[in-house]
Amino acid sequence: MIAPTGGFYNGGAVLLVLAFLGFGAFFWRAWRLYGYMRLGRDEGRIDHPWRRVRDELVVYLGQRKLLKRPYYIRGLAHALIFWGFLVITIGTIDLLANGIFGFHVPGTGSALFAWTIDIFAVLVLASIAIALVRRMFFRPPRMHVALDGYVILGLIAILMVTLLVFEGAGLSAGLLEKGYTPPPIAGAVLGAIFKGEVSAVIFYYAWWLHVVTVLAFAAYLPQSKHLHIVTTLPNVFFRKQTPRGALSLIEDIENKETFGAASIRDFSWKQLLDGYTCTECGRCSDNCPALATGKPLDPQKIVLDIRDQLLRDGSKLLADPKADTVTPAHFTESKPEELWACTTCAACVEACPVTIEHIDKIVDMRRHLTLMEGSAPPEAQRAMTNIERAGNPWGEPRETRGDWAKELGVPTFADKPDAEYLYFVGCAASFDRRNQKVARALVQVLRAAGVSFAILASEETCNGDPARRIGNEYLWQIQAQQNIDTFKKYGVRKVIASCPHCFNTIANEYPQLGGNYEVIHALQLVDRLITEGKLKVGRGMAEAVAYHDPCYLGRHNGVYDQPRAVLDAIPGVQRVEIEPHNRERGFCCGAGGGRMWMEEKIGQRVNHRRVEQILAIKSGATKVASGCPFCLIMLEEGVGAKGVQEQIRPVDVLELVAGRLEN
Amino acid sequence: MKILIPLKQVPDSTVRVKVGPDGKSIVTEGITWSISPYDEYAIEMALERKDADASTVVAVVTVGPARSRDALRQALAMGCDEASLVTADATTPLGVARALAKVVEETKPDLVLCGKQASDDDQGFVGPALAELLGWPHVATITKVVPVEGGVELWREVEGGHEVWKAALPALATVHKSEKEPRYPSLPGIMKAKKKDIPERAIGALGVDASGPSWTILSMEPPAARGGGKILKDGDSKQIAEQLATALRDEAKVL
Repeated sequence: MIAPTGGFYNGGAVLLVLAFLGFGAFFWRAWRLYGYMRLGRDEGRIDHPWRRVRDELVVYLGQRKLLKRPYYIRGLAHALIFWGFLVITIGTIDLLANGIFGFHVPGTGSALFAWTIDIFAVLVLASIAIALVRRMFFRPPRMHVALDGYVILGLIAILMVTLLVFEGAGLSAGLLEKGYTPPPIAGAVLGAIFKGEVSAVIFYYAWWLHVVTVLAFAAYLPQSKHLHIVTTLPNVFFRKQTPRGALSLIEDIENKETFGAASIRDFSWKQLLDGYTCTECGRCSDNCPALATGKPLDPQKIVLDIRDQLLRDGSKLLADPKADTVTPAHFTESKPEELWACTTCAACVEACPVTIEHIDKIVDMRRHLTLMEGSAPPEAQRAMTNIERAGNPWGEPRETRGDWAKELGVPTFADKPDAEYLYFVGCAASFDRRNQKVARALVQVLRAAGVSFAILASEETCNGDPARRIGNEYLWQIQAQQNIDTFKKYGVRKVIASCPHCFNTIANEYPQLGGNYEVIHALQLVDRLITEGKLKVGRGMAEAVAYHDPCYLGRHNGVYDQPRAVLDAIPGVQRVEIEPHNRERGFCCGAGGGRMWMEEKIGQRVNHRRVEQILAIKSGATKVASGCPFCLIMLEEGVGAKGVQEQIRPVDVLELVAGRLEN
Repeated sequence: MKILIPLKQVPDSTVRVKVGPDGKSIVTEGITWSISPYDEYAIEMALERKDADASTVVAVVTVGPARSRDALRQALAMGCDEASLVTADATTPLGVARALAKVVEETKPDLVLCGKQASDDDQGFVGPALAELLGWPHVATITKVVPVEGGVELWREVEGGHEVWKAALPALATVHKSEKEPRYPSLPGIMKAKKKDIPERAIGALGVDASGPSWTILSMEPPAARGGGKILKDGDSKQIAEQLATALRDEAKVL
């Protein structure tokens, strides 16, 4: 590209001063933001470096998380603006280098580059038009539209228009350097409009307007949510690479004095970086089951509360780490009722295009409420007391944990120490009558396939998941350690769980305490047994069955296909998808995050909404199958409350298999 | 104000109680013990006073076997300030009341709150007996305590409403329920409680008469196992209703 300044002494110095001001403003503000971010506590985020590089390529450069249902068009518009930005930035660097010092970035004089920029400039303009039309005429309900968004879109539009105009005018005026290949739009279209002497003047002003806009953009960027074009780069790089379903461990818990997050200083630097990265797109809010059913929780607000408080109080805190900044000084702005509404279903985490981690913040704040203040909701406190005293959240007698299996003669590890698998039954299947049927079905299936297994009966205790997600890390550690000790006593190496919560915490969280096992969810195992020919499923009644994705199987652990494969392997069963709320967009049953034991008084019950969604697909499905005891309880309740038992019956996939066994 | 709560450690309500081989006692091996629920309400009630007025001192004491120390620890974790243990492996309810009277004389609380009864034997004896031994006013089964000029207001729930009693201090009340559910201890509370000193002495060292009128358990039996239910499903709803009425009259004999 060319510049009208033509070297340092011919206007380049003026440009240099302007560039210094624009980028100076950028770095000045960026340095402050970095300082605020360092107020957060330390957290190591450099494990799995190659996965981090891969994510940069896929998520940042590849825009993978933007191109998701139901956001394909908006996502593509964004991706085009972003890719355009990348290409055009190279041109901008060339522009400034040429304007100030009179030299070119290598390769920018090529026809390929000129054409690429030209085409992207038009695509970006088209995308800006889509974005503006959406904001003005088809605003999604969750989108928080502010002046900032229009300013940014306006600046980008000015950049693209001036770029095309100065190129076209420059071409007409014959200001191009030798060997410069005219790009199609700027050259053929605009070049034809700008004719004669005036084109040199147009070139001059368009060029300067373009460059000044670039510098104004740089200065404005760190004041804006648009800073995400910069912060997404580190935010993706430093995203959590441990399993999504694993919450962080509080190490050496007995010797710590404070727990969880009460002030912005209690969040890690990465959690604060999340705040800088949020672009207020509202996709998290869009997918949140709590918000959708009228609860006071909005995952986006959780992230923005932290960011806003940091921006407001950051300078005071930097000056004096003990400064009283708000009243009461140490409190975060998210209210307990918001935090307790979360089911930890990860719909927000899944939806976020810039890898913000909402659940960890919510749980950290819950940790403060539970561990420091003892102020968890009373029903949650009851559940925790029950786990402490009886080893299960319902407070059923510990000694009766294995009673469901007595009639079946299921061996315990004490009876059968050489069993290959431990079937970790979990509290729901041990004590809840409906779910005991599922446990019995699994026993039938395992026996048919000749799998060697045993249970722990009264030696098993709650895996700790509800306690951990309520924020009671201490109780989780006690429960987990107790199970790990029992597993050790019997030399357990392989674990089958029919409950995704047991599965998730044993597979992903027990390793934090040194418990490493090969953990498999019952439906994964059944899928394998069918594939290997060890399990023969015969034809039963022909029926359509909708599959409901449990959050802790699907979104938290990526197990979407195996349960479906099991359904598909049952002759006569026609699998139905609960579109569009299936797979990674599956809608929570409402029971995760300890919500199973909390009352749900505000808004519509999440499970009732789910039942409505299942009925709305009008697929003729007479059953809805899941792979989670909590989902089953919630769906049964929802179906009962809505009086639609005749239309649709909740089951576990295992029950469908067990009812049709041929071997 | 200083509030003393005498508490009792009992088998936790989640424990499935089994009768021992002697047929006269329950199996206590390996079971979970906790603070008797009404005592927990008494603690919560006292701690709510402490929340309202930080100068309130809440102390707990128990007369029981050495394992009762865990129950005192739990009370400290909830937020009580002091705890002391009087060890006694076997004693009579009156002996317990006498030992507690001695503790009250030494520690001089303004208010003693007892659970209205212990959930293991449900005698409801110790609270009133302690008031009698001390010669203090006693109000039973309260749900709220409010400090007022010259003493405390003690609220009790009665059919269709409540009564408000007033007592000069010192006084003793037995607690039916607190306004809020007993609090879940904070983790710093649990950790602090672990380090707190719990003075211990044997009941003999108090110099009280631990004997008293007593009873002997002749035998214990678990309730008979419930038989399976019956599902009436033959016939239309009218016929089923008739079958149900017949069954209620002839088999259950309730009509």
